[in-house]
Amino acid sequence: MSWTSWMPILVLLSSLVTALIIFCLPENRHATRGLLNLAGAVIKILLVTVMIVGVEQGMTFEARYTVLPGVDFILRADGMAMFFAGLSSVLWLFTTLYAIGYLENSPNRSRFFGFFSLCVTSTMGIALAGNLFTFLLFYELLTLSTWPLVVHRGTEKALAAGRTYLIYTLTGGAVLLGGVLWLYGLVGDVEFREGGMLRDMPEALHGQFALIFAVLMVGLAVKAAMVPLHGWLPLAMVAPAPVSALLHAVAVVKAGAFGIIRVVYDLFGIEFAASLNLLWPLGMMAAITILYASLRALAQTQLKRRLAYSTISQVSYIVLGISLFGPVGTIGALVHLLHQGFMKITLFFCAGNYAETLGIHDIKDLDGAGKRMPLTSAAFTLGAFGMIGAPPLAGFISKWYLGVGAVNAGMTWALWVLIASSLLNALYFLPIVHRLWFRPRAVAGWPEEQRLSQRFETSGWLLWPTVATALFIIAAGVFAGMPFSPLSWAQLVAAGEYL
Amino acid sequence: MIQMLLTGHLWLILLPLLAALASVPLARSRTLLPWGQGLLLLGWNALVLWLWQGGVPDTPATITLGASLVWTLQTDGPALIMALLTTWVGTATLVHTGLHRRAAAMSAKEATPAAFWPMAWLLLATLNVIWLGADLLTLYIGVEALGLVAVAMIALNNKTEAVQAALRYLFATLLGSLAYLVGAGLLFGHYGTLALATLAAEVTANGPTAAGFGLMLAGLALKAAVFPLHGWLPAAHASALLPVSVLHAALVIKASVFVMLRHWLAFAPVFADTLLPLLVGGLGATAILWGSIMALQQTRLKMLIAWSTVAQTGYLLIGFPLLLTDDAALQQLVLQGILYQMVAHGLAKAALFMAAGQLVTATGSDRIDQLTGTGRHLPLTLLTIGLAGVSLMGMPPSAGFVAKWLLASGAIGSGQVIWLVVLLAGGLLSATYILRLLRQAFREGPEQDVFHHPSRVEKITAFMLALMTLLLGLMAIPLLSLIDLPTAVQAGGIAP
Repeated sequence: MSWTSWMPILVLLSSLVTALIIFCLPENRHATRGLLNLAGAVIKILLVTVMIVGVEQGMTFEARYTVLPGVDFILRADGMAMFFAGLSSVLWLFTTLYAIGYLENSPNRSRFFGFFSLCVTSTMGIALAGNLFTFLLFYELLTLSTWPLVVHRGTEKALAAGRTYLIYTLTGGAVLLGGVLWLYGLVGDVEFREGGMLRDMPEALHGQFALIFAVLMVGLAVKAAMVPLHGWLPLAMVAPAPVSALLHAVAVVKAGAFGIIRVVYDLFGIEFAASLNLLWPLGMMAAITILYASLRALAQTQLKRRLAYSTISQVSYIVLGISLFGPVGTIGALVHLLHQGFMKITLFFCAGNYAETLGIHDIKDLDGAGKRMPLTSAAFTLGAFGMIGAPPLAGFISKWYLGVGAVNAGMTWALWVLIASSLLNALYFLPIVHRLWFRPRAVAGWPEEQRLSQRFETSGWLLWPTVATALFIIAAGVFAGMPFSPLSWAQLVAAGEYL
Repeated sequence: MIQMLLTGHLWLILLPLLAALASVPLARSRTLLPWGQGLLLLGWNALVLWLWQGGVPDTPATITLGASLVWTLQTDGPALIMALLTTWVGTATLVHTGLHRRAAAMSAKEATPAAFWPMAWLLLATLNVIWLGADLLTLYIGVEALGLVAVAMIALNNKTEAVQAALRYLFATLLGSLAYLVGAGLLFGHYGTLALATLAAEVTANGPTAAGFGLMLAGLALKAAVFPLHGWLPAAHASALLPVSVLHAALVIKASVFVMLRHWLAFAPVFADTLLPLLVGGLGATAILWGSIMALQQTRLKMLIAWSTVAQTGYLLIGFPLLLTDDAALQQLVLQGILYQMVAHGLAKAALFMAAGQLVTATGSDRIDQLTGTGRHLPLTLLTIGLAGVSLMGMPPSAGFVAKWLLASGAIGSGQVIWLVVLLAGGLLSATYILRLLRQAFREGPEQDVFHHPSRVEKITAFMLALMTLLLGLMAIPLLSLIDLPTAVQAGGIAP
């Protein structure tokens, strides 16, 4: 094996080994654990960076072996994989920092960080999976490793949410397995390749391919939280804030969305999928999800629940972009995968900061919080404006490409969906921003205030990751034209998908 | 015979027999026992690994007793796989039972009875007879002897409920053997031979064959606790001594299913057009459903695990109708799936029972509620339960997933989608009761008092078994390659 085939394996090991060591560490070795976590995260970012540069220069990083007769385990770094891997590795670092601060003085930290690292390992595996089998392997591992995080608090409410989570995800996993088995039974092991591989198969199978597509989409839509399979996500809010942040920005919902991207682009091929008439039903489902979830978000009174419904709606932007046939729509979908990750993780970090520092869970208690926590509130405002799609923030770039893509594809209704949802975004985000900055503080004071830091508004562990991800929202918008920015990388990947 | 002694395959049976003899004096001495057993286990493992490296021999060994009575022993792929499983589980069980410091410190009342050791080796020897047996006589002797040893071992626990369960089991196993004997007699009367290979070549669909085959299947089903003949199993597994439960659930049950499988491959093809395949598969599906529902209701850990065995045996039966296909590649795939399911379940169930035993040692109770708060004291034990549970659920990466994948591929390849649905739904059902266990471990509650800590050796032994289910889920080729693969399958994909 050359060093290039070791790279994808090392990327997985950098968090897997961390997880294993952490599981074995005694509960009270907090410093060692934190150091291990950070070392793992930094090593992972370095490895991913090397691979991104390599992929840009046309190198291939691939590791494979045969698990079963006729079924290979493949890890491969291509442009698409690096997109998701880059997002996960960067956000893992920030979330780890945040989680160290958030969980200070709480029990069972070994267990938490162990599964946390395992969860990131699965996410990286999903990113690097080179065929459906490998994807499925890590997709299910992700279900298993996130469940302990969802039920981490061990309360009856958390356990109930964990149960709902599993009912949805395990069933979705079983459906996905059925679809994968069906496809393997028909054509054997098919790898993910730019432009897709199924196009070259005999015409007689095309009818079954369409059905398989539908089955795979149902299996993936559960994790992507598309209506009507979204019920688990708002409940999973009981998990600790870093978990919610990771679940919403990178791990679970993105795994579903990324799976849809892989199936549409690299398994079927966008042109083949379009010729089988598979894209417009997907687009319709995405549009319904976007509008329905935005309306539900309006009705929520709890901050985290509102953010949860906002996630459901925003993730379907990616799916909508996929269903718009044409390179511009593809760029919009890919770039939103990243941009939404940064915006949503910032918003959840902020929600966690309000909850930890001031004990605020309900939106109505946020009045005047901007003066007490200016940096957090500024970050929240950036995230909210990004979500609405205000220039020059990250969200504007993705919405712009999605809109242009809709017009180019001749699907003007999609443009109207985007406009309507941006309006709804503004309707449910702007009142929060208004409360933060322009309403006077409630006379009764904060629900449960803690002084976590002498110098800053809250503990530095909680504050700086929030500020950093917020800065990314600006940078991704302002420097969109630079090389290695999410946008230019998306353009590079999209160019490969159309022949 | 001589050649077989030289190639070593007969030693698969002889070595455990000798070990059983050696264990009689060994078990009298507390100090010598661990060393002696350790030595025997080392020799046994070395032998099996050596045989594994050597691959599958071509010629069977025969021992002629009379004109038509011939013992045929053959180590084919399935036999070797099962012999490997027997070695792994057997070694782990014996190490877990007596090769650690806590066992040496136990009082005479707590310690495992001395009779356990020779009986365990005898059990392992009869198991190997069954894996290697290639004629009805050898198989009958194996099945009958196995049943009697197993009953005696369950009765080792000197409690009323264990003795009652052993009696019920004795009744079931004797009835089962009797049915098998009558069936074998009918077949011998009709075909004049007992060798399975000859029978398979000559078999035709007629009355005596149907009656003989049916009786044998029914008798074995009773011994394997196939739904609806499972009534004796939960009580027997829950009341026996821990190592006995482990051996019984992981290996003894498999032996009856394995003999069913041998006969199925020989006789069932001529009955492929009858309702028989549907009946067997249907019983399997019902077993999965009923076993899972019952497992979910249990409040005691060992009962839950025992009911899970009933459900998991159902998976094996689902494979039976899938074997009846003309496509040799598909048939291999399903056969691999069934054997892999036996290995996966054997390892996972053994690990689960051992972990349960550790929890009983630690908290003094085997109620499922008792798991609350034990996680902090016994993280490795809980990890063992988690890993074994993942395999039982058939979630990747685990041996259970590989088995499910192979069986489901077979179902799709032969167009029998109904069994695919059963397999996928069955996985979800097993998830319900496994996760009920794991939920308890995450529930925050008052901490339990821990009276005795299981020794490190015990914890690691169980964990190693669970870890093996994980590793075998990532590396299936070493075991699967023991079963000949048609080139079509190796090339990748099953042609439509």
